[in-house]
Amino acid sequence: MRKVNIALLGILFLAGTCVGWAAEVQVAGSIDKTQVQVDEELSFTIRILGATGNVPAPHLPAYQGFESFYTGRTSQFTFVNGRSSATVEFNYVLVPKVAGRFTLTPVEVWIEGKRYQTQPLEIEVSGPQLQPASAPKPLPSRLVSQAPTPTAQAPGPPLTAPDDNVFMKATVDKQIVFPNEQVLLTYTLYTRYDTRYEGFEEEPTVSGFWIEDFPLERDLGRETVTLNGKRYVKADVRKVALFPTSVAEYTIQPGVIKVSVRQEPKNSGPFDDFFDDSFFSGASFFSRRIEKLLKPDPLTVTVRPFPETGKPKSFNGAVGQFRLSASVDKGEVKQNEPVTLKLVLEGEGNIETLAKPPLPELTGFKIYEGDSSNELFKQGANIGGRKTFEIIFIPTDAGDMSIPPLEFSFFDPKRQTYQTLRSQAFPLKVTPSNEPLRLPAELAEKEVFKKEVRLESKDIRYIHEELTSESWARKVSLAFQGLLLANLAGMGFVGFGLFQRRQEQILSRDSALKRKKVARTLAGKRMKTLKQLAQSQKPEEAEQFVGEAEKLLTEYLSNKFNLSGYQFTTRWVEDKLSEVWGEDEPLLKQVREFYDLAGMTRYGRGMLPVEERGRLLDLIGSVIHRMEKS
Amino acid sequence: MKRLVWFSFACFLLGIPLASAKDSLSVFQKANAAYRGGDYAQAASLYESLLKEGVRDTSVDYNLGNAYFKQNRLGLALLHYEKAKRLGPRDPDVRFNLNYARGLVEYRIEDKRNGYSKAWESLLKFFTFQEVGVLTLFFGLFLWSSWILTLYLRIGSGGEGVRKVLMVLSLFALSLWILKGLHVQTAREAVILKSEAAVRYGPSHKDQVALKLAEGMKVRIQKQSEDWYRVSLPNGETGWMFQEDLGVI
Repeated sequence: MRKVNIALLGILFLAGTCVGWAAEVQVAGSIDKTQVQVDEELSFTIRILGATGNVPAPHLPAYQGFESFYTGRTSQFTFVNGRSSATVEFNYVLVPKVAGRFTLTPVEVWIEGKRYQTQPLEIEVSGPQLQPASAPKPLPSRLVSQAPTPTAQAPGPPLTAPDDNVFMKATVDKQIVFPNEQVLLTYTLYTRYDTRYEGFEEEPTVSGFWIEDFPLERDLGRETVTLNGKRYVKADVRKVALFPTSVAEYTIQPGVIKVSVRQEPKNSGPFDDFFDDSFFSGASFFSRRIEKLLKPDPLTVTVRPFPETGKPKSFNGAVGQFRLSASVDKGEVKQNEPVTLKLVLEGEGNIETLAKPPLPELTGFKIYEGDSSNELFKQGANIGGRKTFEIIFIPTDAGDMSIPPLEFSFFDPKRQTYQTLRSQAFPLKVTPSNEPLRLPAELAEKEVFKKEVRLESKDIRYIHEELTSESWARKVSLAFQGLLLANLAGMGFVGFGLFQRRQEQILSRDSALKRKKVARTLAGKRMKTLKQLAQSQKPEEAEQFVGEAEKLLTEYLSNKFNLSGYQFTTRWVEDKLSEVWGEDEPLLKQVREFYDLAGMTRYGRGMLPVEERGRLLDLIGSVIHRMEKS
Repeated sequence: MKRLVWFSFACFLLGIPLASAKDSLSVFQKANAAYRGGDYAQAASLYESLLKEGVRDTSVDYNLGNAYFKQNRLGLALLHYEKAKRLGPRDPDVRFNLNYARGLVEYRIEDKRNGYSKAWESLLKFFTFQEVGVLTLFFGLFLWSSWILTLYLRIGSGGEGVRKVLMVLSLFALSLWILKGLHVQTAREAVILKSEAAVRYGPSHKDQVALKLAEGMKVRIQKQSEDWYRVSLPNGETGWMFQEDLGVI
């Protein structure tokens, strides 16, 4: 009977097709509204009646003042009273961006080499007029130019503005859960555009949850749904398993998702389906797209505490449905030979956080924790997997021993009860051996097989047997004192050095001052020689005395008064000294007499007695002393 | 003998009369022997006599803290651990015993100071005054040396950059030294020695009790008025405590 029906349908289809071939192709455009406001969408449909074969989606001309989006095609085949008809509709959404009266120019449709076109359509757009300087001026009652208009010039929809034609919903499968119970967070895209999912612009905020992401499937299982009278393509773009870590009320901020919407229609393939679209790479790379940021509403998840009644001692926070299996690698061993117990927990739940079943107190064995490994499975809407624990038992006693059952408890949220699983006991026949306890080399290398050193008790530490002063404090004290002295010395040196440098700088700028300053030093050096000459009994040295004394005093006074050798005269010096000392100074007369004596002696080449030399020496000393004082 | 020589020298440097150095070491060893023998009261008495003689040594305060701890005198134990920590702020034994003894204090006060204040105080308490001084003088010596090389030997006259770095380091260390000195002078702390000590609104027994503190808790002394201390707690509370209830660190 079913075969007959299919055959009948096939005949009817062929008959209809033949009738359709014979029918004339009609192309018509229609809009659902003729009066709209700025930013209010309107549907534009191009209906092709009687077309055969593949009809490519028509390209809309660039309607200035409008955003246009291709939303897909609809095919219809009817067979009524022996007459068949084939209809294809291409649907577009137009969004006017400026006010005015517009005429939609006819759209060209090419079918089997023949050109058809829609009729012009009048639209009146009301709403706030944009400033002429900043927006293209609409041309009322005039066909808009078909010249391509760059998209950038048309004011595109704001990226985050709510748009009924494309939006994202985030949902959780449960709103009240227990700690560590899985909550499936699903992101679903609803669109009426040719849309591409571009990923997360801002990741969701899910603090307080352990997260496992479901891998993105190649085929997202799109479906068409009708919401508020509008048809949408719906697709789940991301699924995340959340496991709450503690009792609380959590608000999940789902983040921001980026999608891009195609603005131009594309050519359809021969088998394009209803609402053909370009999710995940379907669209041409070169097609014009605009990006939209979608932000789903926040979600609330309440995590309630575990029931206290019936909570087993071995319960350690595991939630889900699990199975436990156990095995040992040997049933007979020698004393001090390791046996590995393998525990496998398998099921649905947060596998990664499962803890090893607690080990009972056991005598006659040394127990070491072995490796543990996880395998995660994602089946349907649930996270599950397998966790394997290895425990090494080394019997230290010989005889018939037994590895006792291990207990694992979990909370089953479906049944709302605690479940306890037990492994079987493993009898172990241990034969005596003199071999010392030694971990197998491959195990000994692993740190996990080392037991942790544990603090057995706590107390204060023991007294110090030696005085601290003997060590660190003494060194610090010595260093402190040594460094303090060194710093003081350093400071002194630097201070003196800086003072000296400053003096040098001053004297280098003032030669008179420099001569004045060095006069005494130079005179002092000469005085040493002069003293020797004054005491000398040798005639030639005694003769030199007066000359040297005159040189000394002349040089000293020249330096003091900043005189050159040419300027120096006895008269000038007398005047200068009388200015400094005053007319009544007895030394003035003595200086005059000294120079007279020096002149006579120079020409007479006389030799002064020792007493006279001593008196002149004193005179020079007195002059220098008096000059330095004044 | 060698130990005695070192100790004598250390005492000399620390200003302890040389004649008493030998006696001090002998008393210290006697106190240790009493502690080993379990006579903690005798040990404490001997360590106390050393302190009275003017011996300032981490080990003396630390051992005295241990002797008091063994006699279940938590307040005095904490007082001397705190004193030992001031002398040897990084001594691991002192820090361990101090933390352990603090854990036995019955009450705790929430420290409401901000993180910056806590970090700053920890930094200042991590070094002794003399250690910060050594650091400062160390940088200072390098700075003076660089100047001397330039001024007298005309070497490194182009090393202005090095001198600037040394200057910055010296100034930083000097600031730290000054602040440490101020901290030592101003941040006077005390440990409560009574099992339950009252903090009053005023400096007399007639004033109302604001709160009660347990033995071993630490307070900061703000000022003194006769036999009373005005104290502040880390949570910002202030009040007056009777002098005898406190041991000044």
